Amino acid sequence: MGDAMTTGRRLALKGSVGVVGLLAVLTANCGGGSAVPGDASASARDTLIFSAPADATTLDPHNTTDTESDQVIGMVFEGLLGFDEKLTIVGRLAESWAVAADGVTWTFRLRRGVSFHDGTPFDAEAVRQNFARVLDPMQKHKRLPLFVMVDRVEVADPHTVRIVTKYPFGAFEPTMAHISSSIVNPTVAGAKGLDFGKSAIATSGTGPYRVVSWKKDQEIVLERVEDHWRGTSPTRRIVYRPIPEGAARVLALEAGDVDVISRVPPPELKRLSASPDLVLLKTVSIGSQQFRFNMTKKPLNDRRVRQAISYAINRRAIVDQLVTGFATPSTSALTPIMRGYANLGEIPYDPDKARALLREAGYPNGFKVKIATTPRYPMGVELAEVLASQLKAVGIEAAIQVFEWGTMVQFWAGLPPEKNAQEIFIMGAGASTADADWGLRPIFQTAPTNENNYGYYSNAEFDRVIESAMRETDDARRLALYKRAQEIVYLEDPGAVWIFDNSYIVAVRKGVQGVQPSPLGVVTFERAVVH
Amino acid sequence: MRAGAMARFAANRAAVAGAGVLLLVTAAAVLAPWLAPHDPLAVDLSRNFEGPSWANPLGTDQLGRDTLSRLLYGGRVSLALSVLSIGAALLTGVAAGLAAAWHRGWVDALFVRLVDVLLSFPDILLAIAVIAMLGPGHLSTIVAVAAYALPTFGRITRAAALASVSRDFIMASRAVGASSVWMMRKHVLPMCLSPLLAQATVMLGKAVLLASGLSFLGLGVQPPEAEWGAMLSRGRDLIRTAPIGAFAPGIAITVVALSFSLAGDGLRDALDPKATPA
Amino acid sequence: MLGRTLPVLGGVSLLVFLIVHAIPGDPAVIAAGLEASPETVEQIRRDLGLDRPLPEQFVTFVTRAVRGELGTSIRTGAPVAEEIADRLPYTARLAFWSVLVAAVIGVGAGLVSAVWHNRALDHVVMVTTLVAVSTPSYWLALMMMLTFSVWLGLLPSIGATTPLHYVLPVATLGLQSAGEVARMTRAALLDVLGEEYLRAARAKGVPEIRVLVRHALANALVPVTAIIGLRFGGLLAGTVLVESVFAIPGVGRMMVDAVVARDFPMIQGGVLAVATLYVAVNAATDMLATLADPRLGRA
Repeated sequence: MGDAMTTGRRLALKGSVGVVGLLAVLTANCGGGSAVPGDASASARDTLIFSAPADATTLDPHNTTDTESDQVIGMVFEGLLGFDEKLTIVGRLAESWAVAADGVTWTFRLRRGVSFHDGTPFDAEAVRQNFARVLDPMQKHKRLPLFVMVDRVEVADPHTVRIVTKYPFGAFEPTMAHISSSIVNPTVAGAKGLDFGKSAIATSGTGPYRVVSWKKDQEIVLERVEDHWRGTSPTRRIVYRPIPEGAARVLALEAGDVDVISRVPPPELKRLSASPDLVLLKTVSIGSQQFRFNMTKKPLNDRRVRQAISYAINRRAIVDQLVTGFATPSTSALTPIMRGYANLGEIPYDPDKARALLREAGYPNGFKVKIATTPRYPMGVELAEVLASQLKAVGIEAAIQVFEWGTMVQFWAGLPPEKNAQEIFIMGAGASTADADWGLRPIFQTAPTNENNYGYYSNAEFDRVIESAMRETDDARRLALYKRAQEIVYLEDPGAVWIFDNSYIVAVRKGVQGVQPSPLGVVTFERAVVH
Repeated sequence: MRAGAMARFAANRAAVAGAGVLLLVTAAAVLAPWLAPHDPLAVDLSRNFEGPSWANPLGTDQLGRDTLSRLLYGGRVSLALSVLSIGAALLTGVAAGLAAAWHRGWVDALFVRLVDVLLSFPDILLAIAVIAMLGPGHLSTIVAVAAYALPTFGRITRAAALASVSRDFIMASRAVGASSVWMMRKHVLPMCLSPLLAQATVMLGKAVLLASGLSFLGLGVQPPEAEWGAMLSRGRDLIRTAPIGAFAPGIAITVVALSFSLAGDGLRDALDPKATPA
Repeated sequence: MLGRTLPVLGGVSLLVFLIVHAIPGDPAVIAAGLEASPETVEQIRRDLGLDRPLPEQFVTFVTRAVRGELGTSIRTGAPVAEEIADRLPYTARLAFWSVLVAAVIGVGAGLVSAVWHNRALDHVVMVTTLVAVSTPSYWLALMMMLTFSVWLGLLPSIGATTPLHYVLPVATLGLQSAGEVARMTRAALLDVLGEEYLRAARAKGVPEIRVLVRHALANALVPVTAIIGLRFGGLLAGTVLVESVFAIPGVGRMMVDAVVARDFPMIQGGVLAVATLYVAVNAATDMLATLADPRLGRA
């Protein structure tokens, strides 16, 4: 797919895109046997039940900010472009696409013969109306900021659409592949207005499944679209069933009440991988587990102190013992699957070096510090405990504070430094555009508040490098610039302690085949068969 | 009367057993620093999830800490928290209940409404709100649990006190101008003691349970400190992987809460002779 | 009845309003998501009316609530009343069956305990019923699921789609309430067992079992009904953890989610609905008790 238009593959990414979706649990390695679709023989069941920790909050792609909603939206809607399971950008509703020499005019040739679930044909006008919808400030779509670079959308002919950006924007393709660029049915969206995506009947896209029913907190029933252009899915019905409690999710899977679960509690992974009735599927992820520094707090403002903390952490022990080998020690501020990633190596466990750095910084006897964490992140509390105990070995006394999510995000809400009491805090983020720009720039670029740069990171050289990288269109030069940016923020003037890169793991019953987890933290069921 | 109550309590074998268990658990908690084989906070990732051994009779937890030591120290925290929170609830509840019964009128009306409001408020939600307001920690757990127990104590005190303030001798003392605080202490409070004592004992067990519910929601005692509720709530993902570590705090909570209930029931029977047929 | 109910509901409204505004956490920030611009957050805040003075917000909340308008959920954008109406049946079913189970087991156990007062059977029965009460509910729920769904494969583990799905959650909650009912039944029975008219009945040669059931139990029923009513009210408000574990889409789980999301209208509406039910159930129990016992009516 997309072989014709290699221009569409450039990595000239500028500007920001996307979403720091908090895609929590995730790691590396493609695996586990049963990803091959079996044939839909007579023995196959017609329903697959998938369980995740929470219900979708909306089925409107222009409003989603959580992975659970993304999961269902990704089944019901399609964008002009999309990500495949390796995060390669592929054509979906666009058969081909290209950017003009001016760098701002993008032309998309649309797939013919595609229609929305109610029969409304998909065409260039639908695309235009979608952008008009998301860009209309009156409709208050949460994803409007993603599209601020769009200047206008023109219908060239019923099957060709031109999108003109205000300025050359390198990250345009990942933006168009992003879940929030999905095309909604303009007829239904027009009729339902602000209620679009809030119920089954108010949801209509072109995806391989349609929403049959949605009982809040209980189940979303999705039924395959016959003769979908991507092929008819082997399994007729996919039921999305939220089970908040991790232990209950595992028990339900073992009892055979559900077929696939996501967010397996990490301590259970080892046992489940040995179970003859289950298969664990893993993929690398865009997310990593890290502890960030509030740069405005003494002594964390001293880079030697931050480096000392980084050397005091035994990442190997954490990966091998605590998350039982289902994660890999971090090697950069980005994860390997992301565009622009540079491998800077694991930071070795070196308590002597840590002590030496502390002495150099004027803290030979260590100091007291607070670590903020939340159980919302898998192993969030356990990680903080390990961190505290490892810091203690080099003389740093860390007190742990556990916050529930609502309180935790309050510290990241654009507070000025004097109003933020957090010192070291957990973060499990991944930029869902899978690109270095969004993975670094908003998070570490100097800013007056911590709206995105939660720890008030500020480094003049980093700012310069990241700005030039954003405007750089040459692949090699861009990569070199991002490598430099990562060296600064990961090694020289660390903005965080990166612990490990996550794996995204789903557990499936043995008879289930063709389930495909994506590094974005969602699962594809289009080729799934249940025996 | 006192001796009679003692004798009646002693005759109730379930209550005696409960009291015995509580005595043992309290002793173990107090003596934890001497009984515990290891530092309950000493993390050793290379030794996590170990089974029982001579060095670690109940094995080790996810972070390689000694489960028995954590259980002993955890009992200290759990018991202290429940005693402090129930104590706080008792003090405030009794004071408010007495004031209501003494002053009658609008004070009493306000009190009754307040108790009704608190009782009809979902308890776990009230606790979450308190903790969100005060920030996590011992104090907020104590306040949250106390807020849950307070209306019950207030109600009991008021009922018992109302019955006694209307008695002739109190009316009389009041008429000759005896100080209200003195009157309360001397005559009214003693009348409320038995039902309060019995209820407080039962509530101590409930406090342990509520604290563990808070831990389930991630709002309990702050790590790395050991506390039964927190240990149990973390153990829920470990039921199959490390069953001993997961079950030990569960059994401890159940046994202690049960013992409080039995002892409390026994106390009530013993202190309130009319509940026991001749 | 109304004279007591209205102030309580007023008090609950005020309390929940104050709590919601006192807890740190800005619903606009949470609703906007982590990478929203300050303008978006400000816009949401204005839309929610959160920029208005507190007293004004409270008056708005109460006047709307009186008309049955509970506002729109910040998290899902759906009307709060609708969200509650969707979920209440699950919680109500759960509470009803649990209280029924608790009543049957509790009264039975209490009866046995009272008859064999202070003998071994009394202790065994009381201890057994109290074990479930003394176990944290989520833990009991997980144990039930592990035993009956995974090991024995007898019952569905999670969900609320068929009556069979309710067996485990109802058993969990029912067993937890049975202890209190048993304790109350036992105490009430012991209270009446010594009374004159029972001795008279026995003396007249009425069979012991009839004395117990016809005379004693009938009289003990008043406090027992009261505790059952109280438990029912409590269950309507307090099935949070069990709903979470069994993934039942009830009101309790909805409210915990709402607190995490600082979904003010949802918290306020949910608490108000639950409190109303609680008060109504208690009023009904009181009435029932008055009907059953004319003495109470006079007092």
